[in-house]
Amino acid sequence: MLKFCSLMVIPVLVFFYTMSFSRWLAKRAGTGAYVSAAMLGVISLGVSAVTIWRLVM
Amino acid sequence: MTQSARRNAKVPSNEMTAMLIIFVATNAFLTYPRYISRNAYEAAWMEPVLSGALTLILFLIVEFLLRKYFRNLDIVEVSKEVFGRFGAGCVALLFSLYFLCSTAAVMREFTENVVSTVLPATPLIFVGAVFMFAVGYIAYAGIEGICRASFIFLPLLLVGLVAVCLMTMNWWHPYFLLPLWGTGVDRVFVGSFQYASIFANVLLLTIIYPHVHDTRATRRMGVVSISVSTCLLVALMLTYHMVFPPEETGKTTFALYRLARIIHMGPFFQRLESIFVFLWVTAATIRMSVTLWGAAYLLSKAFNWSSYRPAIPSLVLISFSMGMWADSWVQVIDLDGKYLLRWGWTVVFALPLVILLLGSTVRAIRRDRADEHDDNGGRMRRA
Repeated sequence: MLKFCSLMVIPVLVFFYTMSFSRWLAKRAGTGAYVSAAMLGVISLGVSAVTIWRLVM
Repeated sequence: MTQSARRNAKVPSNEMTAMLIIFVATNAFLTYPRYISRNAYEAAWMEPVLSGALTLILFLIVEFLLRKYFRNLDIVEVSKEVFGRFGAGCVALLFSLYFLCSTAAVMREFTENVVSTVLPATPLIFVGAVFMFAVGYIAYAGIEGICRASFIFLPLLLVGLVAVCLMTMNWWHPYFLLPLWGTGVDRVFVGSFQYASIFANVLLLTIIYPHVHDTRATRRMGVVSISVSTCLLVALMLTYHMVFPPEETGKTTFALYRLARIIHMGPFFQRLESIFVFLWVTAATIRMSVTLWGAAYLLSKAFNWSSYRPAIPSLVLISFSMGMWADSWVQVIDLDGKYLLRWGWTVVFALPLVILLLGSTVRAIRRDRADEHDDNGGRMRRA
C-alpha cells in the first residue's frame, strides 16, 4: 500500500495541475473548455490509479 | 509564452521534413519488419515501396486540397466547417485517441527492448517513466522544438541506419531474396495497403499545415520525406532479408537489434548494439513526442483551450498507463499488429481524405451560391 501511495504522488500532482488549468479556462474560454479539461484530469488520475494498482499490488 | 510553444508557430520546411523522416523511419525498429516479413517473406522489401507510393499520391491530393480550399487551416478547423463544433470535437477525440494508443504502444515496445537488451536489472516501470518524462518534455517545447531536435538528430540517425546495413555485409546472402515475389503478388499488394499506416505523413500534414513556414515548399517536403523514409525502410528490409532466412524474419520482434547484434568486423568492431539501441531510443522519443503533441494540439483546438501545454502532463500519464496496462510484451505486439498497424489506414489516410473532400465540396457549393447571388444582384441593379 505504501508503494502504491508513493507512486500515486505524481498522478495526484498532475491532477491538481490540470484542475487549476480547467479553472483558469472557466474564466477565459467558457464551460465547454472547462468541462473537457476537468474530464482530462479525472481520466488521467483514474487510469493511472488503476494501472499502478495492477502493477504493484 | 515562449516562442517555441506558440500555437501559431511557423517551422522551416527542412526541419519539418526531418521530423517526418524520423517519424516514419522509426517503424524500422518496431514490429513493422516482423509483420511485413511474415506477410510477404522474400518480397517484404517491396511493401514499403508500394506503401510509400500510395502515401505519396494521397499526400499530393491532400496538399492540393489544403492549398486550394483551406490555406492555414488544420483538420479540426476543416471538420468544424463540415460537421459543426460537436462533430469536430468527435473527430479530434478520435485522432487524439489514435495518437495516444500509438504513443503507448511505442513506449511499451521500446521500454521492453531497452530492459531486455541493455538494462536487464532495471524495473520496467522506471524505464517507462523516464522515457515518458523525456517525451513529455519535448512535446511541451512544441512543434518548433520537436522539429528542431529532429533536424539536429537526423544526420546521426542516418549514419546509424546506414552503418547497420553496411556493417553486416559479411553476413549477406543475396539468394535469400529469391523467389522475387515471395508469397505472391496479391499478398504483397494487400500487405502494402494493410501496413501502409506507418506512413502517417497524410494525417500529420493536415495537422501541421498551418505551421509550415512556406506552404509553397509543402509538396517538396512531402516528396522528400516519403522518398527518404521509403529508401531507408527498403535498405533495412533488404539487409535484414539478406542476413536471415525468410522463415526466421517473421518471428523476430526487433529486427534491427538482431542485425546489430551480429556485427562482427574483426576484434575491434563487434557487439555494437548498445550504441545503436540509444540511437533508436532517441528516434523513438522524437516520434512519441510528435504523437503526444498532436493529441494535445488537436484537443486544444477542438475544445477551445487557450494553450495545449497544460494538457501534456495528463496525456503523458494516460499514454504511460495505457502502455503499462498490457500483461506482457507479446500482448502489446499482438494488439499493435491487429489494430494499430492493420486498421491504422482508416485513421491515417481515409478519414482525413474524406473530411477534406467533404470540406472542399461544401466550400465549392458556397462559392457557387455566392457567385449566383452576386450575378442576381448585378442584374437587379442594372434593371
